[in-house]
Amino acid sequence: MEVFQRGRRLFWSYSPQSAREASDSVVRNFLFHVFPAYVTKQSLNLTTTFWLGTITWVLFAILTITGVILMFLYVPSVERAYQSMKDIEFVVSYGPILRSMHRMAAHGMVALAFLHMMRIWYTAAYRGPRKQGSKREINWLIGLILFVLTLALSYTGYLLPWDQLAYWALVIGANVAKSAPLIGDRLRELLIGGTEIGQNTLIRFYILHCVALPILLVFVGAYHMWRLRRDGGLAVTDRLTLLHDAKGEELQPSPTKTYTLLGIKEGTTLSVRSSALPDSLLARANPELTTRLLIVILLTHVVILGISLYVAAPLEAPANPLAPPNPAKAPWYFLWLQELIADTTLKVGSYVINGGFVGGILIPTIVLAVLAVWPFLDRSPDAAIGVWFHRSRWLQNVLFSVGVIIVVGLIILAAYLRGPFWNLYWFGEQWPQVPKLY
Amino acid sequence: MNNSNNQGSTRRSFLSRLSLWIGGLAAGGSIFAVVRSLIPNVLYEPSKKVKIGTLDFIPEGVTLFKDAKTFVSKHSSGGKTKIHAMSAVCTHLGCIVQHTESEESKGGTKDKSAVGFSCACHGSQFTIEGDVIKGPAPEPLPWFAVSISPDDGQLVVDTSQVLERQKALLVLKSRHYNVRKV
Repeated sequence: MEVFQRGRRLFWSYSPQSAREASDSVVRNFLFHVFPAYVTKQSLNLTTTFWLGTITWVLFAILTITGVILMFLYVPSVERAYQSMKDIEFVVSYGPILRSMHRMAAHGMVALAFLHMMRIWYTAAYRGPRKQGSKREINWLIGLILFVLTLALSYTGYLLPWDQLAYWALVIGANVAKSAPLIGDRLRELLIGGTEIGQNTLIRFYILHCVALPILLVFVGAYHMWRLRRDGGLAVTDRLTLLHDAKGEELQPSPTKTYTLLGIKEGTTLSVRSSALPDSLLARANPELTTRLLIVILLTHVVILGISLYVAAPLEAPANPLAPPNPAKAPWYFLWLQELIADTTLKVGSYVINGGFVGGILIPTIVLAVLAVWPFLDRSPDAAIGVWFHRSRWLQNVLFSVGVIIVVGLIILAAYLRGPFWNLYWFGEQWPQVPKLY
Repeated sequence: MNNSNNQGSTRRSFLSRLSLWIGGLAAGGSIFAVVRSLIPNVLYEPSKKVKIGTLDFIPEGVTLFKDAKTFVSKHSSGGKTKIHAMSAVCTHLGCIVQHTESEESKGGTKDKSAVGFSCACHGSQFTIEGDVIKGPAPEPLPWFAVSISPDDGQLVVDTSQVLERQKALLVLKSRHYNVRKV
């Protein structure tokens, strides 16, 4: 117990003398910036969040750990990259499982981040009551950045094996960058480190994948979590304060309840209101939240490990700069973009805009921009906050669902109906024999 | 601003402004250096000019020359040989197109790609001359300059030099054949 008491000093800045001080100390505690001391019971309900964001973080943790191990085994050189992948697959003990876990967790992270985004939309959790000065919209923006970072991590990741998928994804990605007006050529050169794809390119994407992007994601993600605390917890807490207001009882927030971020940023925030909710609505974060979190961590790990035991991460033939696979298909989360790229070359008279720019840059940018400004323009009533599919938001929900269905439709179209030379073949229709090249 | 007697400019404000400027310059300089260092000054890449062999080693018809990523077509008739080199890199997003003319209705299954050149990545199709038939390719496949190397008589494709078709077409009369074999 003595040791435990001493160990506490690593995380606690002082010993509280009263309950009030104890609560205050929570705010100053580094670890408890991730965990509140008390959470509303409704935040813990499965149907409130389905723990989608939490699972995304757990997957990121799995990716970091398996990724660091894979870094010991992988050589980022054009000559040896593919060979080291083969070694991981056939020579290293448990190598295939490790690599498969990394790949499956990566797929999962993209999927879960998107599902998390859908949850936020359908529960109107991207905004709080404006009268109380809520700024939840900012966290939605941060979330979009995190989603783009996740996709960038996936892209840079599947380039590293230097197989056919990697090489041709690089060719197409680099040329999408090139199709940007004015800066295109410079952008491509900076991205691939020359005019042709080679060692410069591989080492660039290796550093991006293993160093730059993960660090960025951790920082932006930490801000995401801190803002969540600053906004007073999940959107349901806003709903609880609003319901409390409706009963005519004034919430009496404690004026001393201030938030600090490592002492840099201080302020009295919206969380003051949710912190004044009556005790009957609250549960202690420990053990109520921590045990649930532990269960989420364990289950996510079990599922990823379980899948990895049976599903091997794909590894195509070594990169061949002369023969793209036919058909050459991106991983599922980029297939809708590949389909767009293939369909959106615009011809107006003699003036032509490359589909690489329209489908690869313009449309994704517009989609992101619309998603980014949407919460700021959302005029739905406060009653919709934290409620699944609130009736007042039916139009917004329908529009969002249509967008999701279009993306999923494009993915299915590209995944199942596109055959050799990207021709359309109906389900079950036989693909013609494609000549083997070189 | 222009002299130290200026009102409102104390030693403290001057020093703070100075340190801001120095700090800003240092930060800007470092960022510039970081970005600039990532743009290579020397590229260890294969030459854009590729020798593809003497004329009689080039087969009749369309052949892909791998080093140049170029299709070379050679057609001889009546003592004249016409040669041109056309890029094999799709103008859409850079995949290597395939010569698919000979794949017509093979093995009972109808091949939908029986044209000049087809791209596997996004389905662009080109005529044998490189014009776009369908698909997302924005431009025809470019023709490269072909010349005869003066030292050994090999044909040289210059993939950095895109020419109009009339200029890129090399027409050789029979006396040019095998200028000098090494």
